[in-house]
Amino acid sequence: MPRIKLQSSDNEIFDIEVEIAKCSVTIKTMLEDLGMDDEEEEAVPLPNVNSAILRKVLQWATFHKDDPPPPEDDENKEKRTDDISSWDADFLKVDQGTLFELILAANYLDIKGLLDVTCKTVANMIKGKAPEEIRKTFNIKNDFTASEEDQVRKENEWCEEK
Amino acid sequence: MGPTSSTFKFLKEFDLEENSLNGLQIKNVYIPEEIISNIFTYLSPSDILNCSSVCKRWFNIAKSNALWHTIYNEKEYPKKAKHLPWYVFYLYFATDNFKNLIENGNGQDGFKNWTIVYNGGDKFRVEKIPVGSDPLPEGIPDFRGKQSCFATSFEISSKYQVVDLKEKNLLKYIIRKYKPALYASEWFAGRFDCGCFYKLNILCNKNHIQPSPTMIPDPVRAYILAASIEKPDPASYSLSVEKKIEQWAGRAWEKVEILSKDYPEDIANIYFCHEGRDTMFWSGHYGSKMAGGVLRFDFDSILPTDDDVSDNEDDLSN
Repeated sequence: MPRIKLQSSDNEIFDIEVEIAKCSVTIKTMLEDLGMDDEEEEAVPLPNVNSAILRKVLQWATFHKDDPPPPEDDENKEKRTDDISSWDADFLKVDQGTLFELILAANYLDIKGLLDVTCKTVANMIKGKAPEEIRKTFNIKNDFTASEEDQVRKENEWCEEK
Repeated sequence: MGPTSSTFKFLKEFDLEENSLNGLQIKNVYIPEEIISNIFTYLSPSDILNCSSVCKRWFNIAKSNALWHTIYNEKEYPKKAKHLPWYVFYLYFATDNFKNLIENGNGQDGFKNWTIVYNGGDKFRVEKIPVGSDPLPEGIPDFRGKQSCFATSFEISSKYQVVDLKEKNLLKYIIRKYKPALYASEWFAGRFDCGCFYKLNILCNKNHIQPSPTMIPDPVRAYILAASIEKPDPASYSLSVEKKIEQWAGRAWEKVEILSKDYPEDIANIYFCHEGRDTMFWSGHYGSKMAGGVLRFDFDSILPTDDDVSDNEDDLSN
């Protein structure tokens, strides 16, 4: 198995199988563009991902390395959020900071499967909640004035079909 | 009374300072707008509306045309979203107004949702499967998986279903602004052994009628409505298709369709009326059969208006 070294933002080196690293489209493209061969000694720098998050990402990628490629968009009409596998659900039982950092890392590394499942997890934290509960969940300030808030509420009420 | 569709104005996006992070900074992690937007694509339309009340930044994301175009492009792949404002797509996803507004079109629930205007001969009946004609064609969504139909008799039987737009603010707003085509269709068939008449009539009344029990036809009302089906009241708008099937020519199901773009924009109620009888005056149910009524506004006929285009240019220049 060819291996590759990845370097996190805090300079930790991860020595992993190339196949696992390539679930990141960003890394895959980088390797192709740079014409790096399989036994490259130099580590690929990932300045946007720290070691704690990179470790989680690689743990996810290792578990999912044999997954079939994600279905084409045309078969995937309805976006569901109730289809998170139990392994992923357990894997994502982390604090919110870690969850959002994983989203950022998945976005930066371009790992569609991980981005999907993390975004779904956040969507599930929003579903069915009132605005005040959402604010509390994510620690967001209500920056509307009373009259703006009233206008937004009215507009939403007006849109709801009875 | 809230604002009506002629006075209502949608809120513009909120001006936010470049460095304002509220709504983007969660547990000290900065989340770019595109990712919040991506998370919203996993939510239902009503949850997205809810998110617009959380803070100004989320309002701007939840009510951006870009978010709704993305949702449309994903769900309706490979159709591409037209440059229409977010609320048009919201209506498309949040309601059934662009799907079928007719309930119980096959009589699966008896005469529920229907008002009988005139019940001539041996009266309307529901047939669990069509008697004396072909079964309903398979794989037609209009039938919602049902096999039943209505059957008429030797005198005219006529009934209608009314779609009340009174409470549908957003739909009325979109009707005024975009005039989507109104589409109606239904399947009908005759018996193999008897000729029949069939008529589908779409009536839109301009004036707002307060639906009340008086609409359930006492004989006088029934007479007036029946008369208005024959000779439409000049104040209302009417379109109809009439068919005759000759004796021995029946049994196959045929679809009739009505498409209209010149209905009055201030319609409040739409009546989907159908009637039928046989040509032979035979006792029993030898008249036309009907099933799978559809009444809906046609989403694909909606085209961007000039101000949608200029709004869009504004978006680009920002």
